[in-house]
Amino acid sequence: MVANTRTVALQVPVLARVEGEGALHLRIRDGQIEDLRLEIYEPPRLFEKFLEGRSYEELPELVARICGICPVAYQMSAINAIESLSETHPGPWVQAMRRLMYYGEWIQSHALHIHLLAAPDFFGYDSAIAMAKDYPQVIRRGMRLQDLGNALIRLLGARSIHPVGVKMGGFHRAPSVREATALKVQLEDALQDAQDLVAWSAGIAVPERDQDVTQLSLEEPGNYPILGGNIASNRGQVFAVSDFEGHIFEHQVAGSTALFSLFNEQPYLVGPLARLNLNLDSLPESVRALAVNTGIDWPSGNMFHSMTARAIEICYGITDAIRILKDYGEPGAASVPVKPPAGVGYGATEAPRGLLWHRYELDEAGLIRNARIVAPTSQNQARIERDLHYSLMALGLDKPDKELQLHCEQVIRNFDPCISCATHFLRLSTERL
Amino acid sequence: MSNWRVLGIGSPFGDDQVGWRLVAALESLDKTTASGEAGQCSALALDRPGTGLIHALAGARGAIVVDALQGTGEPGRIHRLSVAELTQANGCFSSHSFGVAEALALADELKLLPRYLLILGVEMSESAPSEDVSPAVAAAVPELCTLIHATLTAWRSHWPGLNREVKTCV
Repeated sequence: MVANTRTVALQVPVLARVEGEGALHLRIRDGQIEDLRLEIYEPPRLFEKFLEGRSYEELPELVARICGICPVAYQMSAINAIESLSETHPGPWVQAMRRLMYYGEWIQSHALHIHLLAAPDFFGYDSAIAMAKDYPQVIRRGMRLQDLGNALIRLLGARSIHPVGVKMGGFHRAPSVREATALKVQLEDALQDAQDLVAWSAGIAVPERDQDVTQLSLEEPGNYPILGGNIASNRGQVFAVSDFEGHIFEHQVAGSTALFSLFNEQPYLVGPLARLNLNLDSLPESVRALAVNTGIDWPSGNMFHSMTARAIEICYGITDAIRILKDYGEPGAASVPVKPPAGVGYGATEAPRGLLWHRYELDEAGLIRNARIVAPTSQNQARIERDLHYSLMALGLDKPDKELQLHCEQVIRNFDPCISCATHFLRLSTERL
Repeated sequence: MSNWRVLGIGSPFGDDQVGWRLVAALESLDKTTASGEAGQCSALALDRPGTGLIHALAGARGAIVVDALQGTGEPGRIHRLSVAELTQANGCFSSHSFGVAEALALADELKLLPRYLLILGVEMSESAPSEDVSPAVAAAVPELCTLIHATLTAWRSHWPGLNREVKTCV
């Protein structure tokens, strides 16, 4: 056997098929990883600073601009923070509609990720366009699901990108019964697509990469988490959203503008796989059975099962959206008044990519004194690097450069990093030498 | 939505507004047309539609896609582009940069492109995004309207059994 003594320098200057712009640097010397760094080089966005001096009422429209893929998540976390400060309870109709709209975002974001970003890797294509030649039905299914998700967002948000229908306390307008019924029919028609997607996704051969990973997700009593609750870990810890800063520590890494988050001094995972692992029992029976029937042994420590977790969440979103719309009725009012006092409000919801935490300090006039937003990709940053290290060692550093590179990209894509959202201080790059 | 569509892609910035200006011009003309001719063509203003462009094309018999073009030539010049020219899919895209070229390439692979498709690019000037549409690019809008009118009329005259359907788009 030839000893692995080569030196590999691999640089992926632009990461394809991740949300936003990033790069990866990896250096292997004498069979050992000498350096591994993930960089995001989209320019800083400084959104928190933009918010200072603005009214809390403007938040839904302002924070929606942080991301074109997950604007609803930003709106809902901000609203959650302000309503928690004002102790507003907008009632069951508003809460149900918020879930509905949020499901739309999960469905469109997950469908897009699975079909356009992740799947081509597993079938040997460099893009969804190339894959569409041989698998048109698969890609078409993804497009249908994505379109359905966008339609759900439009039902309440008027438009699917940077929606404008949301306000503090509820919505500007309630959908009519006719609109709701039409969408319910669309959802019922799409359920089979979603169920097929789960089976298809679970049938894709993926590497065995089981890791003992610390995972965090919201825990919403009686529900699969999306709109609030406490933060729970798979290590048995549970803490309030307002205690986030007492448990999660962000730090800057020398030579990088990236902020890395640690929980119990360890990297941790947020996102669909963590959500599913921690909340499998909260799924409706039909969806839980589907998850169990995939043959995956949940909870899974294999990040390559994230794609199936996303497919299961699409199925869950459609299933629960049908339930919500089944008894839909127009409310007397689509919102309640929100009048927060001066103080600090905390909010968190489950964005498609995981826990999205917000904190706002308001003055007596309701103007924002300061804001802090911690996006899921930022939280996953350290975990991605740890995963890359582990996965490369498991793959074998003696593999050809091209194979190493593809594997690194797949590992990163498993997290569906939304680099655009995470770039308030962040640079991401990977290099292999 | 009509089976005949004009999709103007743009943003509120500088010459990139041209697609939206075109849609506004078509809508304005539409209001002046005789009753019975209106509504024969749908004109949509789109902002970075991504894969949404495929949905906007779905079910159309004919569509004209208009977008601003960054070139080194003469500002306001109108280019007819083929999907092949426009799409040089390199597999290096994210959903944030899934543009017109990628959407049309994917629609082509999925056999979702309309039977008749015209892609028009209007060369932008070097004006700043904060500025209004440059005079050269603004002058291209009436020219686009004429070209679109002629194109849709020609398409319709070729569409079997539909010769009587429409005389004009605007």
